[in-house]
Amino acid sequence: MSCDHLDLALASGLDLLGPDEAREFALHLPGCPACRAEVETSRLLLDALAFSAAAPAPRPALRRAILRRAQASRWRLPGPVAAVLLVALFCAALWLGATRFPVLPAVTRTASGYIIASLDPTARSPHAKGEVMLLPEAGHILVMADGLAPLRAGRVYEAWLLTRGGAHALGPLHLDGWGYAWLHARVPPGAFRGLLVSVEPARPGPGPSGSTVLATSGDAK
Amino acid sequence: MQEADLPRRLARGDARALAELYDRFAPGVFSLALRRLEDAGAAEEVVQDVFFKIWHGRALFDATRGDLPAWIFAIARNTVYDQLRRRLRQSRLSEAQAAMLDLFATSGFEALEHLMAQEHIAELLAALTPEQRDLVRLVCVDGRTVAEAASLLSTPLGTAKSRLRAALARLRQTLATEVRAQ
Ligand SMILES: [Zn+2]
Repeated sequence: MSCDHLDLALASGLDLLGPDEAREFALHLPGCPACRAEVETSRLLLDALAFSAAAPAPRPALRRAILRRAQASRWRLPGPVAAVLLVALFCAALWLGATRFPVLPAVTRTASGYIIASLDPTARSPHAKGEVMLLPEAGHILVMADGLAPLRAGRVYEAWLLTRGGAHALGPLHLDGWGYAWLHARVPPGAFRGLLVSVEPARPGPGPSGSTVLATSGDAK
Repeated sequence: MQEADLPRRLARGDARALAELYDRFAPGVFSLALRRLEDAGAAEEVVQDVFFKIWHGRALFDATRGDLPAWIFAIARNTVYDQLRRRLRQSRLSEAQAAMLDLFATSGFEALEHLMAQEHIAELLAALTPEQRDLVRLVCVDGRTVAEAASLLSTPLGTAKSRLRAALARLRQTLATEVRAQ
């Protein structure tokens, strides 16, 4: 697969095209798989260059905050869950660079079968965000969230597994005092259709009753 | 730094190992995030998220005995593009960012995985002329605009642009040769 516009694909990644070239390339790109692949490659190349060890360091206060935060939360994930998480992260990143994807999907199924779904905030918690990682066959699910506001006593952030049959309580998220929250749970193989997190009393009812703060948005089948 | 020992110390929960990792990789993560997100605050947030994932997911890395820079690069990219996707949903993307997300790949990139190692990038850069290398460093690593880099190097803007294009083409060609050789 080749095309004589490939050098434009590369230069477009850094805005190096003149106005005429840019217009020509914009018209050409949608219909040319070779150039689209080349743009993807050049994005990877530019990302790898930016990731270089020679890059300038962020401000020192960030380093202090991150290291303090790590020391403040010395809990460890159970071994198998950590395995799921890391393999999933790794596969997701490789997959994003490796496979056809329409825009960037809210739900990613990696080549090795892990599912990663983003959790999106609601009006109730605009600063929250999170990720669900699932190993469907083994039935491990890991929920990680950030930016959740502290709750008053007697309230928890409850995670709900959405299945064909409805919502099932998975348990409360553990908050680490810095706003990071996580939960590891088991789910029946094949049951996952989505997940939401809502504010609930410490002993939640049969379904979500309080405000939803995070939810998967894509179709996770 | 005892590189080989680092994953093991990290897996044990040694905070100094995390500090070492931070010193080595935070600049790259920050620079990658800044390039794509064009916002220092958002880039710092990515750095926090990436090191959170490294810290809390460290046990497996030790078990896989993988390539540490490649692993961190993968987490960083995933976090950055997730952030972009989130902005897309909130319609907060600049035109250039939207154009970037509006593409999809059609061929495999497995052969380019070795790109992820920082050492390898250094080797790639060595294939450039000194003038090309200075430009690539200023624009692609330090995140300067081409105009800023041209002025810093006292080079006319047009010359800087064509030199940078030639440099990118050279890097790409070196990569392609290596992929074919694999
Ligand atoms: Zn083309």
